[in-house]
Amino acid sequence: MLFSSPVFLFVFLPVVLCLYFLIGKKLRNYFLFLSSLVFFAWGGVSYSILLILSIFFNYLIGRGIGKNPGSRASSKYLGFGVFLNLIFLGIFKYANFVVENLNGILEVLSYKPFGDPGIILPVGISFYTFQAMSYLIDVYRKEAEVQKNPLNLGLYIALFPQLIAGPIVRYHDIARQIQRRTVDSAGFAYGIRRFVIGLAKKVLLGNTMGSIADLAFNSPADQLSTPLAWLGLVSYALHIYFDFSGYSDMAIGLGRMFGFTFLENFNYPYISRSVKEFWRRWHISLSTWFRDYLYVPLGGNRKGSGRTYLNLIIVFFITGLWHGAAWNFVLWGFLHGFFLIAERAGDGRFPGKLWRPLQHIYTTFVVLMAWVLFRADSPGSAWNYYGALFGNGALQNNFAVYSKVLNFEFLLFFIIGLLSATGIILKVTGLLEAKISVMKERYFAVTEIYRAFQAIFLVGIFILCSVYLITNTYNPFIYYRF
Amino acid sequence: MKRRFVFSDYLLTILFILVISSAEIQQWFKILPEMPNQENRALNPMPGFNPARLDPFPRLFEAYYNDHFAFRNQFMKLYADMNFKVYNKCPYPDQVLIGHNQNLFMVPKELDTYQRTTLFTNNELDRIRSEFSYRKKYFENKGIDYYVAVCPIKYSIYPEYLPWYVQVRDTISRTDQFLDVISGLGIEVIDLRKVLLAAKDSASRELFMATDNHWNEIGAFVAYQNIAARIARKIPGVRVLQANDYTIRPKRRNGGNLAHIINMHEEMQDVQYTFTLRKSVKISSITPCPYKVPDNFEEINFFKGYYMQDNNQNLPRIMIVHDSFGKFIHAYFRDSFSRSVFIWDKWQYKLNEPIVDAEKPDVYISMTLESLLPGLANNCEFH
Repeated sequence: MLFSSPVFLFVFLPVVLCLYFLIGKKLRNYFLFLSSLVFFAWGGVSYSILLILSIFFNYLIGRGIGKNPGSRASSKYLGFGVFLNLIFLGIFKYANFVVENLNGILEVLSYKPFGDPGIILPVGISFYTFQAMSYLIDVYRKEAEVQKNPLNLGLYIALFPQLIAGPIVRYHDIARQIQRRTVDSAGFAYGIRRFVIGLAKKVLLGNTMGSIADLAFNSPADQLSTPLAWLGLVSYALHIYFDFSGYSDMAIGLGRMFGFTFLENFNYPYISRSVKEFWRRWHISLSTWFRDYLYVPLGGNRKGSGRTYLNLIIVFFITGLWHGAAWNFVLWGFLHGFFLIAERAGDGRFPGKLWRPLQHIYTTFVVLMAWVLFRADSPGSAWNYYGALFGNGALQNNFAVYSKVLNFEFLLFFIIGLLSATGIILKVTGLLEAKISVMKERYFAVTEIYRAFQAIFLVGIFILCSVYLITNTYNPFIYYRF
Repeated sequence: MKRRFVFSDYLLTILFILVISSAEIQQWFKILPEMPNQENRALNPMPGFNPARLDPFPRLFEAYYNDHFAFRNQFMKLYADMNFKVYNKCPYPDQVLIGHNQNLFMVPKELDTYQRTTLFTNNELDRIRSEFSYRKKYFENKGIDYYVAVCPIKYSIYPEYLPWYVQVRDTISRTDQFLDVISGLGIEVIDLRKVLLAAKDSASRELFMATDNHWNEIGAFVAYQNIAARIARKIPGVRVLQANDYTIRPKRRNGGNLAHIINMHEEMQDVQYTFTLRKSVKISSITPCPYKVPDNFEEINFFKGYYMQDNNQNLPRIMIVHDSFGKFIHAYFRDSFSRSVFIWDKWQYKLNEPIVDAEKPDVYISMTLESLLPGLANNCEFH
């Protein structure tokens, strides 16, 4: 089920919220786990069996590790657990990719190819498998207690706000909240605010930008003009940001409504002045996961430059593969890894010593070029797209381009998108909020009137999003497929 | 420190809960008046729950829920209004193009016809040549005068109402290709594009409806006059009615089919003309349909047959196979011919031999909208 679907907004959410607060506190985790299973099953009932299986074997392995954390036996349990999770992910996410590539080699060698495995990618598998591994590693490292209640572990792995598209919540960050949490009126209202803002980012900004990006990236090479290619690329950069950060906002907001506090997943990545900074601001939960559970165990930057570069290449190769079983994702990961190494090799001089606007231009350019690989269907179509970007484009645009771009709606959302993604709107609203909080103690009633109007505005935005959702059939989440 | 009662938090929470519950409240208690559904499609039904086949259920249920969402029609209308009035854009740009002076144009099939972005392949042209060669011989053997008429799309007649970025992309059009093949076979071709373009400059009234992709009663009358004059050259007895044979009255009406698609048919007005014959001209009567109607097509659309009341045997008999554009010409032809038969065969443009054999017309006209010529090429029977 998608957050931005009428069934979720007008059936699932009110029913779950209502029952959650009506039942006793002791039953709330069980109810939330059950609701999460229903939420997950909505995307494919058969897939729920995999999720339950994952919860079950991670629970057993976790108990094995927890008997004597840090011992050799627990190391074996951990190794087995990580292996099982990776095999699980490998079969359901990468089997088709592996067979496809093997068949390519077999074809060259004139051998009979393997049959198509025909495995359908289960929804959210990359997210919940990484969360399960986080649990095992945290218990092994004694950063968290073993979870003795399988339903509570199930709740951690399957908690519906972050189940299908993150943020990837590390077990030690949330273990206590599973046992004990409170919801107050301020937290609940904050959750609503974040949820509505996330919904608006996804539905109003993300989808609008996405339709232009689709237009550009789906155009045949001979019909893609250079201006359209650039507009499509910038629109895609905005689309993926609003789509994914909007989803994270909704997840964080929903979490708060149920008393959970998830860590932030985005921090204005497009204002970064280096690729390194970009990865501190983009999909923070994934980069933190890789840092803690892969880069650091590989040795991080503690074993000399050569090894650090190798570790970075490994991490970004896997980051690319995590996003999708295709070579263009691998190339996307390598491109980021390459520039991270280049920045590190420059010993802080590059791009740090450049004039600040040049640092922004450099980072934005690298990120945009990498998005071409991320969005294109194959390395070949990415190559054609690069061609169109740098002058080898069609001379004319087709009608659909003009009809979708030359209107007030697109221009409005495009400008709001640019101002919002670059943090300018945050700065303006931040100044206003600062004034309001100063006034709050003295003029409480005045600030409350402002906040009341803000509440009405947010509810209006929610209704506007619902209007778009009901009338627009275009509504896919990019990260839903990972 | 004692926490303050924060009114805005409670207000937001109450409003949010109310809004997310509102669809179910409306579903059960019908607080707001219902609005009619404007969509021209069957809504998804409630799927049956089969525990043995659970996987498709959520998808089918969502399709059902979205189609029956309590505020669906209100939201659709709000979306259309917002797009049209606030964003100044078409809510469904894949369907309708908004031109100057609020002239609407149909996008599917018609835009690419105008822009000449798709042409007939040689293979398609060969098939058309073969089929029409057969038809020509068929009518020659029966002694029936045969005409092929092509109706223009609105784009062809009023390109000045189009946005600047809608431009012709090629020197030859699919319509030109088709007419070249037909005239090459020696069949009488009536290119109504030229007729209406010529009439546009001299006519004081528009020839197409502003909010519809069809011509209006004036445009249809211009087409009728040209066709009837062409027939009269071969059959001098044919009477070509003139504008002064009618009393013509304009009447305001709600927007046409394109205004309907964008959910603005009540806000957008159009002009309809009523043509009332003066008394000196004979009045005709309608006959019931004796022929097999195509599946899933209404008889009232498929067949229209008229006799002149005094059954004037001096006037010839005519049969016209047409599409929706042909509906507008019935009134003029039925008062010029002793027997007029109009067939709208669900855009198949068949020869309809059983009807020809039964009706024994003196004149047979195949009349097709230029954007539907590929349909004619693909649906013909290939004798």
